[in-house]
Parts: sequence; structure tokens; C-alpha cells
Amino acid sequence: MIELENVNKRFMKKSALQDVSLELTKGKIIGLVGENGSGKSTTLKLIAGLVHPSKGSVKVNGNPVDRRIASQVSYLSELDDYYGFYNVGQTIDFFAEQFADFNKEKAEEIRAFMKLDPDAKLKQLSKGNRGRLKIVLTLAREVPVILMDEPLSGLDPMVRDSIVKGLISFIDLEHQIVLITTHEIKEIETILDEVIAIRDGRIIGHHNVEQLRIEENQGIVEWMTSIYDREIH
Amino acid sequence: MNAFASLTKKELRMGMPVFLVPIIIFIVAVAAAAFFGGRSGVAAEAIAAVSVAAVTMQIFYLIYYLNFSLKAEKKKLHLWLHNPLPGYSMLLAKLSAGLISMLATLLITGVTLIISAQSAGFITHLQNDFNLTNIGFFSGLHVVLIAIDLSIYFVFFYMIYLLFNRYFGGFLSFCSTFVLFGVSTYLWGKFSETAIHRSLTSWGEIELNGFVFNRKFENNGFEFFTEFDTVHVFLGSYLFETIIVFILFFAASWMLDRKVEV
Amino acid sequence: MTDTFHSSTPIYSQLTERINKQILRGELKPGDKLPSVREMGLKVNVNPNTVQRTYRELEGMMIVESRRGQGTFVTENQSILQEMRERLKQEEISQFVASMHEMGYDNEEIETGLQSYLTKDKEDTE
Repeated sequence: MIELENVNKRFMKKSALQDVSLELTKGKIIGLVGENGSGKSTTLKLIAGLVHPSKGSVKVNGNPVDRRIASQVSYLSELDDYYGFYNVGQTIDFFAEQFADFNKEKAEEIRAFMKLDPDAKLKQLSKGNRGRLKIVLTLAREVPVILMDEPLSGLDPMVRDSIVKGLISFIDLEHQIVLITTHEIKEIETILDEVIAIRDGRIIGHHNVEQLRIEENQGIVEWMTSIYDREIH
Repeated sequence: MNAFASLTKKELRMGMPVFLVPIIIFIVAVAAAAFFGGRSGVAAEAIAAVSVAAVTMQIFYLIYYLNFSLKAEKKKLHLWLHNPLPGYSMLLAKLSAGLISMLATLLITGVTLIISAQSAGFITHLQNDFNLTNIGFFSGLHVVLIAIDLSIYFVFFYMIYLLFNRYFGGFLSFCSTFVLFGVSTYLWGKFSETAIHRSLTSWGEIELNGFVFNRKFENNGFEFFTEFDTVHVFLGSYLFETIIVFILFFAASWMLDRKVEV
Repeated sequence: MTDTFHSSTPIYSQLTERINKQILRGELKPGDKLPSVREMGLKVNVNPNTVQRTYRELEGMMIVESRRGQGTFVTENQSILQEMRERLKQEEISQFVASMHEMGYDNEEIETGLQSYLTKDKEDTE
């Protein structure tokens, strides 16, 4: 469903990704983990068609990707600015009109679940509530690919919990694939099917999480520590 | 509402302050003109002068409008670009919003001009000599056409600016774009002096006789004026400019879809 | 039910164990309906795929049965439940014994130790 083939990405002199190949199939929640600046965000942006590979190819459902892959990809940015002149309800309406696959009833359900006031002004929304709104807008689409860049970062535990619960409740795992970047692994460890570790722009491991526990008797954190150590030595 | 209409509505909403500022400035200027002109008994003339200036300046209206709009999006490109609509629709939504705002502004400044001109003393002399309806229509139309024309050049160079932004900082990108703009204007100027350019544009001449003047000129001794009274319009130059603008517009859309990065 | 999972064993087997224990304790009775996959996922913060796997596992052990369109139910077959009760007991004991052996105790020591512990336990509760 998502295919990266020998992808390199350079920004000026800095190399963000090197020779990344990935094949991800639907029906899974996949965690992309690594330190800050390791290339997690760039990977998501490449799949969303918001940046373009310097070398190699990126495909979603067999189609080469550019910006307009937005019709098949729902992308949650780590940034959270929306149009300040709209309130929560109007922002949801705007998204519903922009994306043909946007399910307004589902959006309403998620909004209620997240306890967001539809009349709240965007400018006055707390960071936590902006994080929740992002979840509403991203998950309300009946779209094959969902990409979430640091959905939990900088939010307090209550919000993080509501977001994790939102993911469990509203992702349609029969039809969707979800790729989440995070450096807060503990929080979402139990909802991941697969984990991909990335370091300095290279993929250094890709595992089924349950398999990891069966074969190596390790959770994600222990596994990460062990492969990061191995890389250094 | 379909996606394009909803996007245009968003652009209008986003451009609301940009729409209001010139109108407020115009109202203040008209008030000032009325006050200072009124002291010398030429209030209507002063307002008319302000209105003429305001209407003329609107050839830059869309550049002004789009500059604001695109700058606002540049701060949240991930939001603007994450949209299934093709680039031309996204740019067209901005242009449409700009054009709606411009026509509304043009209506306000234009109507003020007509009303003030009609109560101005000199209008009767002018009306005797000139066909003001023709001139007004011709100028108004061209203000809009030139504004659209310039705005597309602007959008084209703005997309290049966004591309440069991936590689250099904001200031350096601006400078590079500006230099590129200067060089291409210079080269274009050179090209427009060539015979090829002339053969591309100088065809389909339409002569609009008696377009400018109302006064009937006798044949004796007024040949100079008769010559002057004919407006030469070349269909070729309009078509040529239209084609250039289309090419630039689609190049800009292509860059937006394929090259611009968050 | 919301306490965390430890990371060294698969979540699906930890969840299977939890449900088994709930049945043993009688919190889930024969014929009771289990929460839907999504509800269960929400309850314990676990990926629905993992819950699905847990339910399949339990189904394989015939401890639960899924009825088309209705959901998943604890079996009413007492002999299977009895068998599970017995099996879990054996598992627990064998683990205990293995770790005692690891520490160097022999069977006799384990037996007497266990007996005196249980007697003391009985006296305490009396």
C-alpha cells in the first residue's frame, strides 16, 4: 500500500534520508521511532507528497506520489496551525468540503469523544485541544492511508490518553493503514502492530511488535536501546 | 458546497482584512479631499482626483491581495498543500477571491468617481469634448485586465520564490527571485523590440473611430485630431499576452503540485 | 483491567491470561458475552488487531466461542472450563517448581516448605 524504493532525500548539503526502502501493507498501526532529526517527519512528508525524493520513488496504492495524493492520504502535521478565523465547527465543515471521503458523522462522534466545543475559537484553543482537533480532522476521513506526525508530543497525559483511545476507537483497521511517528514510545507501544526504527536517515530495524516479544522477549524500548547500542559499537 | 467554492469562500474570509484596508484608506482620502478641497470650493474636483488615482492604482490590486494571501499560506504550507484539488484550482480560488474583492473595490471607487465628476465644474467641458462613457469603459476594463495579467506574473515568480526557499533563507530567496525577475524583464524588453515580437502581436488591428472625442471635426485643418480620435487595438497583442499568461499560470500550478515543498 | 502489560511477553498472550483468570474468578461466567474487539481494545488500551488475536487464541482453546453476528461468548461447556482450571494450576505449579529447582531446592524441601506454609496460612486465617 505504501512503497518507498531506495529513497534519498537531501536538503541543501544535509542528507535527511539515505537509501530508504519500505513496504507497508494495510490493516496495521505502524510506529516510526527514532531520535529527533532522524528523518521520521521527512519520511511522512515524502509519503504525503509534501516533499519530493531526491532519488528513488515513493508510491501509494501503486501511484507515484505528489501533493495531490492528499485524496488518498490523511496527514496530521506536527504543527497545529489552522485558519484562525474559523471556529472548531467551521474548521470541521471546511475539511468536510475539501475532502470527498470526510465522514461528518464520524467527525461529530470523534469531536464529542474528545469533548471539543464546536463553537470554540481556534485562536483560543489550548495546545491540548488543538491536538485533539487534529485527531478529529485526521481520523474522520475514510481514507486508506493515515499519517500522524508526533500526535502526542508536548501534550499532557490526559490528552495523550484520550488520543490513544481515539485511535483505538476510530481507526478502521480493515481498510486503513496508520503510520505514526513518535519519540514517546511507552504511550503507544500497546497499540502498534509494527515498529520501524530510524537513525540518521537510515532504517535500522523493522519488526512486528508481538513477534519481537516472542522472539527476543523485548518490548520496543528495550529493542530500540539494544539496536541503537549495536549501531554505535 | 463543492470543494472549489468552499476553498474560494475560505480565501475570501482570509482576505477580509486585505479587502477592508484599501477601502478604509479610500474613505479617509475622500474625506480629506472633501475637507481640504471644500475650503477652496473644489470638493468634488478633489474627490474626483482621488478617485481617479484610486481606480488607476488598482492595476496592482491583485498583486497586493495575492501577496498577502500567499504569504499567509507560506506560514502553514503543510495545511494549504495537503489538498486533493489540482494546483490550478487552488490558485484560481485565490484569484477569484481577489477578483471579487477587486470588483467590489472598483465599484466603490468607480461610483465615487462618476458621482464626484458629475458634480465637478469641469465635467461639462469634458463632456463636450470627450466621449466619457467610452473612455471610462475602456479604462475600467483595462484596469481589470492589467491587474489579472500582473497578478499571474506575480504568482509565477512567487512559486519560484517558494522553490528557492527550500534551498536558501527567506531573504536570499527573495533577492534571487528579484534578480531573476529583473533579468527576465530585461530580456523580455529586448525581445519585444524584435521583428518576431512585432509579427506575433501586430495583427488583427481594430480601429475604433470617433471613440475618444465627441466633437465633430471638420475636414479643414483638423486632420491631426481625426488621426488622434482613432484608437488602434491589436487583437494579436491581446491574444499573445493571453497565451503568455496561460503558460505562466500553468507553470505556476505545475510548480505548486510537483516542486514546492513544505 | 487497565494495569499495564510487561514488555517481555506478547500482549495477546498476557491478555489471554487475564481473561482466563477473570473466568476462573467468576468475573466472567459461562455464557457471558465478551466486550467487542474494539471495546476491549479501549478498555485495556490495546490495538484491536491484538484483541482479535487474543479472541482467536481463546477460541482455539475452545474457552470462548464466537457466534456469527452476535459476538464472542464464554463457553458453557463445563468440562472445558474445568480442564482450563486444571491446566492453569499445573502451569503455575510447574513454574513455581522450576524456579525452586533453579535456586537449588529439592522436591522434599519444596513439599515440606509448602506444607508448613499452608498450615501456617490456615492458622493465620483461623
